[in-house]
Amino acid sequence: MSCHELSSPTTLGNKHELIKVAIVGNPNVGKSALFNKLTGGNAWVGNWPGVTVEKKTGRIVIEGHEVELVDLPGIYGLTPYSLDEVIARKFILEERPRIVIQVINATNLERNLYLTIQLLEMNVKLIIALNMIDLAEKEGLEIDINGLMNQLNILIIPTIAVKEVGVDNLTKAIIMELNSPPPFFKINYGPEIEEAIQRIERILDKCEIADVGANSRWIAIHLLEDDKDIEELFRKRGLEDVLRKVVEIKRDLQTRLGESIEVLMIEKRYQYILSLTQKYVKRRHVKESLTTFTDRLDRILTHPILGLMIFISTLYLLFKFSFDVASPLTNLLDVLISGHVHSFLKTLPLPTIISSLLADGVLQGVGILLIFIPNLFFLFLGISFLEDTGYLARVTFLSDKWMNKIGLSGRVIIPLLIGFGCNVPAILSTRVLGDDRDRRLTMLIIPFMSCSARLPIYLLFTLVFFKENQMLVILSIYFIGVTTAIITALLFNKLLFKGQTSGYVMDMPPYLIPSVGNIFAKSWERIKSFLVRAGSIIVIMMVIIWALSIFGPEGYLGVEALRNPDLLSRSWIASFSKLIEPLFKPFNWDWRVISSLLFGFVAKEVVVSSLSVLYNVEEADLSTVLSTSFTPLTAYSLMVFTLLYTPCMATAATLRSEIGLKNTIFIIIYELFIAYIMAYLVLSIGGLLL
Amino acid sequence: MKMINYYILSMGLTYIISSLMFILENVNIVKTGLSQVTPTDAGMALYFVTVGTLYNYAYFKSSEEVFGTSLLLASIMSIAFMFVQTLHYSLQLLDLIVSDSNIEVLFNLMRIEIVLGILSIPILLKERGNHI
Repeated sequence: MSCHELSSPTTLGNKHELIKVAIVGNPNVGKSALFNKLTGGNAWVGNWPGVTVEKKTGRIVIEGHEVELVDLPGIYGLTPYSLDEVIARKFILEERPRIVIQVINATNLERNLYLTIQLLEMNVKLIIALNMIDLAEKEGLEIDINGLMNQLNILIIPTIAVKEVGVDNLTKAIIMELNSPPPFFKINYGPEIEEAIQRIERILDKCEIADVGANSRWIAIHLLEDDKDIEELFRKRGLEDVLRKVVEIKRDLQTRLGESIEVLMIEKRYQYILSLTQKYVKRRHVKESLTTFTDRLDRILTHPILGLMIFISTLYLLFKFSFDVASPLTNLLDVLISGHVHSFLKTLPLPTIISSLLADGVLQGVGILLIFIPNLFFLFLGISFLEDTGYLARVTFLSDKWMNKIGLSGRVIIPLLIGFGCNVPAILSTRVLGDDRDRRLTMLIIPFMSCSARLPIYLLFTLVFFKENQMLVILSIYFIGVTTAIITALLFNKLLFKGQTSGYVMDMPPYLIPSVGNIFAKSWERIKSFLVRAGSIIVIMMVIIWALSIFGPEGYLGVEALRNPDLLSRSWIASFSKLIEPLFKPFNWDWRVISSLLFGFVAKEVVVSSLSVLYNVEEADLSTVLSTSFTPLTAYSLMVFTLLYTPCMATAATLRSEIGLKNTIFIIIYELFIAYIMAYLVLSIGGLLL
Repeated sequence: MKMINYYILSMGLTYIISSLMFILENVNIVKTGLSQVTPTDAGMALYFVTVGTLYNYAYFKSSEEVFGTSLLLASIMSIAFMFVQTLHYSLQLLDLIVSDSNIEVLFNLMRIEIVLGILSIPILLKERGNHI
């Protein structure tokens, strides 16, 4: 295909009333804080298409203009090395936001300006939010904002996002910039490289490449820098001849320079940045700067012994805050929903089946959903606090060495440990990971972390069969869970994510006092996302389980089936359990155990209560019945199966909302398979030993 | 200066002794019966050891630069735990409305971690002025 045959011009014009504005910046520059202040909490959280990287979007109205703000992932540059950089660049190129706001950490201009240079080279309309200006002053930095503004020919607004300083000026700047022409910016890369750029530009000018979303100079620069994405784009359009010519130009240039072209271009950019900072930033001496304070704290917080002790203690406090503090509120909600509202619905003058549908189906689903809210809210408050202080970066540093051994980054330690409390918040907390590969792998192994809901099952069976060594047996179950998680991570790291590394830059931001408003806003955003995305699935699933319990092959059994073992034994749930009973023949579990495991899919807590209903005994007498139906070995294999088999409905719904239905089904099937194999191994090996 | 140093030392020692009492009780060596002044679980005992170590570290390194940083961290951790426990016990009062929980839960608000957290406030205020 020749250049002129290219079609598919862009359809993304400026016809819409909606003004799209992207917010970019390095990680830890206060981007999210600024986004929250700009949107005033009117935002929603989702994922970028095809990946699990969090996407935040918000809408505001400025002087009658409706503006959509998109918070892009934290990046250091626009060269697509990481997934975050790919996403951010793709958005700017394909979605063409009318304005890009770059949030810059004023205390570290040198590093942040690299992204500015790359954005300016794209000729996007750029506004800089010079954030943390107060900290820069404390550091003794005097930035000549007007000088820098004139030099770069863009608007620079000083801000302190956490205190909402400069936010109004920023919104005014958005409107001001709407009708201004894009800035012209050019770095002189030296005569040899400039000549090569011009030669490539001349070739590109003959091609119709407007739909790439950038000017020909930018494309030429990136082709010189071996940008694989751009090369791929050209290949897809059949422009191999262009690429061949570029390769010739590069070879010629390489011979003349004798050094890597990419390295030389990066050096030129940094030389330019250095000239800017030397001219416009003055440093005066201060008694105690933020950097020295951060260094001093790091001497203790990243210390191999003290640092580890503080890390474990912090995790303990986070657990206490999320589970203990929330528990009275959870109890209150439970009493309110399962007691008062349930009773109220039952007394309504409605047909029995309708009131049961509302009380035992819909309300139970809503109840499961609402009961998680206090836990989740406190957990997210804690995590957001640690994130905003800068401590989470140190946690990553401390655990990175160990987690790398199983192919994960140190950041996953927090979601994994939270999984021991409850898998739902653990999966949601993977949102702080950022890296798509880390998130998928972590979500795959979280269900193997034995959550607190599984404990009553272990307690019941160990009390009956292992009274002497109860704690030891329970510990062995936890150990099996962790070992299975490690093996799974190693296995999938080799199979599914072969050759992929998380390859992230460990950023050590300065320690800061977080803004309370920002912490609450972040936590609320995450809760809202859970309610919207997982809520409906939980309610629907609960209604399906309810229907399968009161209907059977004979037809409608009556709502009494929910509490009557004889009727329940004729339900679809029981029929299905009886159908698959032969599969569990090696374990000697009858259909009642299988049914209780099916109910365990609703919530692991109900396994014990379902067993008591199905065996038609009070929970207190259940141990006597179980001691005749199980042997210590079959009981242990059941505990292992309960530990590893399918995650509960709320976890499955959360997984579905985070990684999609296909991946969730895969996880459920994989875990069922592992649970079956492990339970069988326990029986076989145990049978040989005992 | 001496008074402040003794204050820091006594705080550190209280944390360490309290966690030691927990260990001794749990390996059935001593039965003190002083549940109000000992940690309630192993995680809390470790927390106490960490805060105690940081206070003692600050005391023994008082001539060095690390002194202030260690003290700042110790007081922050102490107050954070006080905050979490106070919130926990205060919210537990909600259970009184819906269940037959005993009014004695109020005594939890006088537990050692809350008292030590309150005693750490002056240290944090002093160190905050020096650092932040």
